[in-house]
Parts: sequence; structure tokens; C-alpha cells
Amino acid sequence: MLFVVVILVLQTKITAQNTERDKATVSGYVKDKETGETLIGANVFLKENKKGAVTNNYGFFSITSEKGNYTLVVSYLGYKNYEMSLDLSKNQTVNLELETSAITTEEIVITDERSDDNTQSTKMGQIELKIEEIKKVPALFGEIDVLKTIQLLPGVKGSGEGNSGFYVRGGGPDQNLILLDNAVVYNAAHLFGFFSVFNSDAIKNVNLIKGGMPANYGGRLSSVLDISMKEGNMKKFSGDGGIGLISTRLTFHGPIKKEKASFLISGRRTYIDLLLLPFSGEGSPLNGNSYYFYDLNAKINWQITPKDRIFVSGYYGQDIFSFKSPSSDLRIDIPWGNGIATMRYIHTFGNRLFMSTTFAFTDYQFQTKANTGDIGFNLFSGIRDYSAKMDWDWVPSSKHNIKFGADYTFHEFTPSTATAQFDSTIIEPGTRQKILAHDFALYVLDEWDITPWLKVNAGLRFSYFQHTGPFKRFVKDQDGFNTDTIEYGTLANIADYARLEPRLSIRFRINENISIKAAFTQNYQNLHLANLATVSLPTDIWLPSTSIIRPQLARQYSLGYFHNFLNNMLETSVEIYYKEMYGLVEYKDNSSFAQIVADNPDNILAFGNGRSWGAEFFFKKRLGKITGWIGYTLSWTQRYGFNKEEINYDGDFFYPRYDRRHDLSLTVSWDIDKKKKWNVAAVFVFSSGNVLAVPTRFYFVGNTIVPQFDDRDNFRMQPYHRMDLSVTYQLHKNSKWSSNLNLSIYNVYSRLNPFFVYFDIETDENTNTIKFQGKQVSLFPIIPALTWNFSF
Amino acid sequence: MKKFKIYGLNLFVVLIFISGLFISCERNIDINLPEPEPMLVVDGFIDHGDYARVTISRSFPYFEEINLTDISSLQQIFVANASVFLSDGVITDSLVFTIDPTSFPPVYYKGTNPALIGQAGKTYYLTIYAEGDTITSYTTIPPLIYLDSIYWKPDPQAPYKGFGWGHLTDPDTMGNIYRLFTKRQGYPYYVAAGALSDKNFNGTSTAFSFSRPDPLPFYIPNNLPEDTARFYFVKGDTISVKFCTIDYRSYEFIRTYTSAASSFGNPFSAPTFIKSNVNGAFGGFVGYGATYYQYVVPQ
Repeated sequence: MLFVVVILVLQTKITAQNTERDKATVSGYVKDKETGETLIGANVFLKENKKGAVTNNYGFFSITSEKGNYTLVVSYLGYKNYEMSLDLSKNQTVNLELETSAITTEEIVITDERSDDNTQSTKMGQIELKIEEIKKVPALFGEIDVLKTIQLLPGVKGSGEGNSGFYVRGGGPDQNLILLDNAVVYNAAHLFGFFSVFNSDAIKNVNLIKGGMPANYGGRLSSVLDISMKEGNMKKFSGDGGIGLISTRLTFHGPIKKEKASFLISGRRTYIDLLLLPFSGEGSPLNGNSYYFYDLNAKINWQITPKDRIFVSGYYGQDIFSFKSPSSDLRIDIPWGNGIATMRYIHTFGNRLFMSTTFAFTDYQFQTKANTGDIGFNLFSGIRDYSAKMDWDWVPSSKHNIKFGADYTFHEFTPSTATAQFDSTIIEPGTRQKILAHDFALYVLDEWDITPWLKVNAGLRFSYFQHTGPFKRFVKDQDGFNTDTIEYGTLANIADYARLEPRLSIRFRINENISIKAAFTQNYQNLHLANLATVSLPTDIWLPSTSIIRPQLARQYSLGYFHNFLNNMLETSVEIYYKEMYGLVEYKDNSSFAQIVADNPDNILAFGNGRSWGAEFFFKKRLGKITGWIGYTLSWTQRYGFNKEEINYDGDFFYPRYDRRHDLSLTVSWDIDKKKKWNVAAVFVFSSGNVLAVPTRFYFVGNTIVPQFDDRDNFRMQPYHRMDLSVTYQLHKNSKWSSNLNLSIYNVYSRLNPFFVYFDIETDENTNTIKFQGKQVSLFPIIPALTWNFSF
Repeated sequence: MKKFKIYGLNLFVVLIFISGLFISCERNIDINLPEPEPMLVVDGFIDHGDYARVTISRSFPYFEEINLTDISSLQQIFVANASVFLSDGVITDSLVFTIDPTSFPPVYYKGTNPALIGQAGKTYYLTIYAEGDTITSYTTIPPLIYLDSIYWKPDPQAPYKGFGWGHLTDPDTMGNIYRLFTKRQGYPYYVAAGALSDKNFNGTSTAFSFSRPDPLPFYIPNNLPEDTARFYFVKGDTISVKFCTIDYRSYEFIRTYTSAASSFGNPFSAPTFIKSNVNGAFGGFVGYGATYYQYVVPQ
């Protein structure tokens, strides 16, 4: 692997040197003029020869071109275009500050010549959303939610009514890598998935990669959701906040030292518990029940020198749920939460080499405590990651952009430890058994402009994963009884997997506005999450690859047609894909958490394969009074190759719950007047119903009525559709203070969408008959919510 | 044995809480599935020290209404004209069709040959010819294991009621599996309260609790007097316990069918797939190493 890197680097160095004398490089950062916040994904280019770059996650760009006089142009959605004359006779650094455009963006369209990233780049299956775009979308309870907005994009499906969980191109929820400032977020949801952990006020940018994953990302099969937190205002003290139906949020940010260092602190708390307080007195069924969650985001950003910068950021959030049965002495407490901390250091060497180093810590914990009288039950699970990462971004010539880096994570899993207490007897089956693993990766990629019409992004990722001791393996006989245990010592190599992941995407440019792209990716995944239930829960347990669980593998082939119209005002694309997946994990049928007691959790898993294929249509209007997009996906997802003794299904394959034939979403935002006092936004979604296993027969065994399931996917629930509306009215807007009122109406026509279906025995006491009845539970009818947002 | 129930229960409670927290709505839906072929179902067992009993019934389409008291529908549920043979590998006996209203199910085929009274340690083979099908199964009655004691403990919040408790010293060998049946005075037959393997407590001495199961396959609150002590035993009750050892194949059948029966499509439960130990039909044939206990809850 290292050899490959060296060869590649040397080769480009030689070709670069040949023409070096005639060329010069301009590099720098693009920032917001008002706040000093760096801008991600801004287009920077030389007007004369259209050579350009897109700013990276830190707002950095580097352009190399023939020496000469140029006009440097920067364009970024929502900002005025920036132009400056540039004498490119030698290498130089510039820092560019863009002004927000107060007027409707229509006038700017004419000069916005280089917003053709859609057709120019090799990016496939990648969509970037700015938090301003996300904030325009109507939201459930008025809670702006990053994860629910990305569900409106083609190829991304929501996991259920009001849920922030998502499935990408037929992959499970565990196949999405969610990063917050470069740290992994394992459970990105509050309240059993209804709200995501990302507070919109603390977030700057969201980038989703669902196909054509470049080699600098890895570890998951299906997607990357890369979320960047705001850095904080470098120029003046300011704040944002909102008071909503179920929560309040408040953010402060400002300079610690003007233009040098800034901070951001942001908090959010729900108050469902406080609203219910008057109704939960003694004797009320709500007595003793409580639920709330809170989030805290903080970040410090220090520009040490023009070339050095340090970021320290953190997230902490917790859900607190307690339940007391009104009819018995049953009491349940379920606390869970995430803690994330990262430290990043970025440095630029000259004008062409950019480096970032990240140290990250992630902690996710989940606990269930249940008590009734003498009997108690306590379940704990958690993950802790310590990681270090180094990424290099090198622009050796105008034709190459090379990225390479290394990544190491030490994982500490506590899959599930249950203790049970009966009377005075406490069953504690051994100590909390941890599973430890080393996770290492190296990558290199080159984005290469071979000719003006052909651009290639070729990369290779090498991953090495090792399950390490101490560990106790329970050896089973065929009936599942422990016959022996094997003890592994500290640092023992219990199982290891070294894998290569080639990635390739190619862009053929047909003309200014049209391009065709193709991509192949091979990904391995060493962290696995099986869902015990048919819904995702915080109880779902992450497990690493072990001697029993082998790495999951996905190969994805995709082909796309990209066409921009009207000076890049309209972006359209059609992508088709085929994805094959191997080594997917499911719990064996009839599994329960209790089985993990005194056992290795991987012993109750079943393994099989999957495939998914489909076509995604995307139409986006970027600019103008009316903006928005339409996404439609036609897709198939199947699972096959499981041991039918462990996973019961009929035929050669089954459709898992990730399968939705049709998925349509429409998002529109309309700035009614020129001064943007009024904005109306609407969302419409339609998707095919979820598959469900429904019993086909019932019979009696003793006094029990037994349902017989023949298949896993013999019924599809009704289709899901819904329309949301929102109206925002700007109350004040000046440089010191602005505020708006937002009315969000979720499910405008009150469609009763299926949340889940269950079966109930209906008995008739007069005739002594029994009959099973299917019952569909729907969660949200029409829900209006008013939120007051402010910033200063 | 209570331990396993609590966890299943708590997730369902969470679900109900979520539904209540948000404004949720429930309605009946029609589920149209292709009509399945009816299958025969075997529900057979042989206790240590007793004759084998085998009920043969039919399966019904899941959403079909049936009547549990009407004679014609009982005839539709139960198969009365089968030939049922039991063998211990040496002697074979034909079981006799019997109607017994004090039992549920009220009809079964019963052994008559004293040489085929169940004995711990022996394997029994079942062959059934019914409606043109041949159905076979076998089961082993494992060696008997006795409880140390049974007792009762009042609920701290409501001391007039409480769960039954047992104390068991599990033998050192791994792989013992237990099933407990219980009844209160006045009920004619035992009702199963749970099955458990010694995987998690092999060779230890353990106390466990058990609730009072509902005696009927369905529970009609309107037909019964207000029962605040549902699932509990109360002061003055006589608790009868039938404690059994079972073999692994029987356990897999019992574990999977009880899990299926309690899920009812609960979205928080895992998919279920019943592992029958019968060839040619649904159901199971279970050998019980049964021992019996009684405890009178003091007033």
C-alpha cells in the first residue's frame, strides 16, 4: 500500500516539476465577511481560463495555473459574487471575504458562471446542503432536523413516521457513517429516533455521500453524512435562539480575540416533561412519567498564524426517560446519551499542501433499569472510540488534486450486560465483558483532469481491523450450550482482517452543461448493528468484526447523467446503481437480549447477503424567488443467502424493511416579496409501504393460540404520504437584531400513515367467538407549531 | 423465569408511552392474504408416571373467526378419526380418542397400555395417520430434577397478593432445561408458566418467581369478576406446581411457539419462527420429567 502511495506521489511530482517554471499557485481561505466563518464548498476560479477549485471542509482552496493576469472570482449560494484582479506571477495567498446578498438572488444569476460543480466534478451520489436550506424546510413540531431533511433526497429513505433514522440505497441504518466535526456519532437520535442530535443553530454544513464514496472515507457500506459545526463569529459577539412548541434553543458565539480566536456554545432542551407536569399529579396515569432531552455544543477556534489553526469542539446530549406503571409497582428508567470531543489542527505548507490532524473521542451509553417489587432487571450497553486521523490535501499541479491520509481508532464496546435480581438473589453473569478492537486505515486518491472532457477520481483505501484481547469466547455445542470457554489475554490477536478498497469515478464532459459520470466503489465495514425489533431503538447493539462476524462488503456500480440548464440555475441528474452486499448481519429469529447473558452476542447473529438496484431522478432549482427540488427513486432491495434455520423466509430472497419501490419528495421554498419578509415552504412525500411479516394461520397448543409465520415479507403496509407547510414572517431585520416567526404545519391533510401494525384477539362474550383483527397505529395527525427565532 | 417477561414487557410499555406522548390513533385494517391450506397440528406430551396424551387439531386462516363452544366448530378444530400409535422402541400401543371437558383442549388421544406409562430416561416415538397424512415425532423424558422448595412472597405495595417462588439447585452438568406449570385450587388443569434452560445459572442454587397464568387461551375481562390480583396468588390460595425437565428439541419448540404467541405483531419483538419437533404437521411432542409440589399461602 505504502509502495503504491510513494509511486503515485513521485510520478505526479516528476510531471509537476516539468511545467513548474511556467506556473504559479494562489491559495487561501474563503470566509463570511460579517462573521469570519469559513465557507465550505465555495467555487473559486480564474475567469479567463475557468481553472478553479472548491473550498474544502475548512474553507481552503488552492489553484495552480500558467503565470499571467487573471480575474479571480468566488461564487457561493446566498452571497454576492466576489471578483478581484490577480497578478499570478508568483505563488501567493489571499483571504477572501464574501458579503451575504440581501436581495433576491435572481440578479446574481447572470454572473454566477462557475456554479457548475454538478456537471464539472467527479462527484456522484453526493449532495451538499447548507443549514440555511435546511432551515427553510417545514419541520415536525417546528424542530429543524438535518436528518429528516436529507430523507427528502433521492436514494435516502426515512425509517418511519417522524423518525430521523435513514436508509441509503438499500443499506441498513448501521451502514451510514455520521460524522460531526470528524468524530463518529453512533446513535444520532433522541426520543427513540424522533429527533436528531444535531442542533441546527450549531451547524454550518451537511454533506451526504451515498455513492461514489471517495477513498478518504471508509468504514461503512452505504453512505457518509459529514456534518460541520459552525466555528463562531470572529468579529463580534452574537447569538441565535428560538422558542418553540417543545423545545428552546440558545447559541452564543463571538471572538475571544478579534480575528484571531472565537468560541461557540449552543444548547437545546425539550420541555415535554414540564408541559405535562400540571397533568401528572398523584393519581394521574402520567404520574411518575417523565421524558426530556438536552444537547450542548461547544467549539473554540484559534487562528494561531495565517498557516496554523486549531479547533476544539464538543457535543454532549442525553435523553432521560422514566416510566411508572399506574396499575402496578413497575418502574422503568432509560437514560442514554452521546458525548463527543474533537481536537483538530490544520496547517498549510506553502500554497499547495494542506494538512489536518484530528484527535477524537466518542462515547455512547445506553441503560435500562426495570423494577417491580422484588424483581429487577438492568441492561447496559455502550461504545467508546479513541481516534487519531491525519489528512493531507495536495495540489501538485493544475491537473491533480491528491489526498492521502491515515486513520486509527481504538474501539471499546460493551455490547450488553444484563443483571437480574430476584428477591435477594442477584444474577450477575460475569463482569461487563468488553470487546476491544483496533481499526486502522490508509488511503490515497487523485482527482485528475486528464483532458478538458475527462476527469478521474481514482483512490485506494487499505483497512486493517483487529479484534483484540482480553476476551472470553464461549464455545457452543450444536444446541447452543456452552461446552468450553477460551480466554484471550491482553493484546491477543483474536481475529484480524486486512482489506483493499478500490474506488473510481470518472466524469466525461459532453459540453458546458452536460456530463456523464460512472463510478465503482468497494467498501468494507467492520462495525455491525443488528436490529432485534422491526423498529430501530437505542437498545440496538453495535458489534465489531470478530472471529464469528466477518467484515461486511459492498460493491457499488453507478452511472449518471448530469445536465444543468439556464446558466446553472437548474440542476438535473439521473443516476442508476447496482449494489451488492455480503456478510450482512441479522439477529436469528426468536432472539432476545436475555440470550446475551453469559454469552457472546455474536453467537445469536445470522449472516447473509443483499442486493439493491434502482434509478434516482433529481431536479433542483438553486436560484430565484422559488427554489427547491424534486427527487424520485425507483428501487429494489433484497436479502438472500441466510441460513433458513436461523432466518425464516420463503423462496430465494426476501424484501427487508429497507425496500420501498417508489419514493418521491418535493420541496419548495418561495420568497414572496423582494425584501424577503414572507417565505412560504412546502414538502410533499410519497413512498411505498413497509413490508411486514403477517401470520398466515393460527392454531392451538395447550391453552395457547399460536400464530404461524410463513414468510418475512408477505404484506406491505399502505403507502406513506404527507404534506407539510410552513410560513415564515420576518419581524425585524437589521444589523443588530433580527427575528422571525415560523408557523410549521406537519401533515397538512392529516393523513393517518401507518406507524406499525399489530394483531389483537377480539372476543365476543355472547357467542364465544374469537377473531384476530389487524390494527394500524398512526402517530401524527395534523400538527401545527409556532416557533420564534431570533439572532443578534 | 420472570426475568424474561419483564424485558419484553418494558419495550412494549415504552411503545405505549410514545403513542400516548404524541397524538396517536389506532384503527382496524383489513389484511387480505391468500387463503392458506389448512395444516394438521399435533399437541402431544408424555409425563413421567402418566399415559401419553395427544391432541390433533387443524390450523385456521389467521383472520378467520372461530367459535370455541359450538360443537360444529369444535369438530372443525379437532380431528377425531386419526390413528395414533406410541412406541418406546419395543412395545407399540394405539392411543384411544377421549373427550374430557375438564381439560383444555377437551379432546385427546390417550394411552391405555401400562407398559407405556412415561419413564424418565426413555425415548418415545409417535406415529399418526390422519386425513391421508403420516406424521411422526419422538421425544425423550430427561432424568427428574426436584425443586428444593416452593413458597410465596407478598408484594411489598399490596401485601394481600404476591408471586409464587421456587428454589432450585441446578446440577453441575450443562444443558438441563425446565418447564413449570402451575394452578390454583379450583382449576382442573395445570397452565404453563415458562420454560428456561440452565445456560445462565448452570450448577448454581437459584430462587425464581412465577406468576399465575390465565387459565384460558383468551381473557375476557367482562366475563370474570374484577380480578385485581391477576397474575398473582393471594392469601389462602393453594399453589400447585408441576415442575418438569424437558429435552432440547422440546425446549426449542416451546420457546419459539410461546414467543410467537406473545408477540402479536409487537414491532419491538423479534420475528418468530416456530421450530416444530414434528414431521408432517405443525406442533410438538414433549416428554416431561414431571415432579409435583403444593404450598398453601397462609392467611
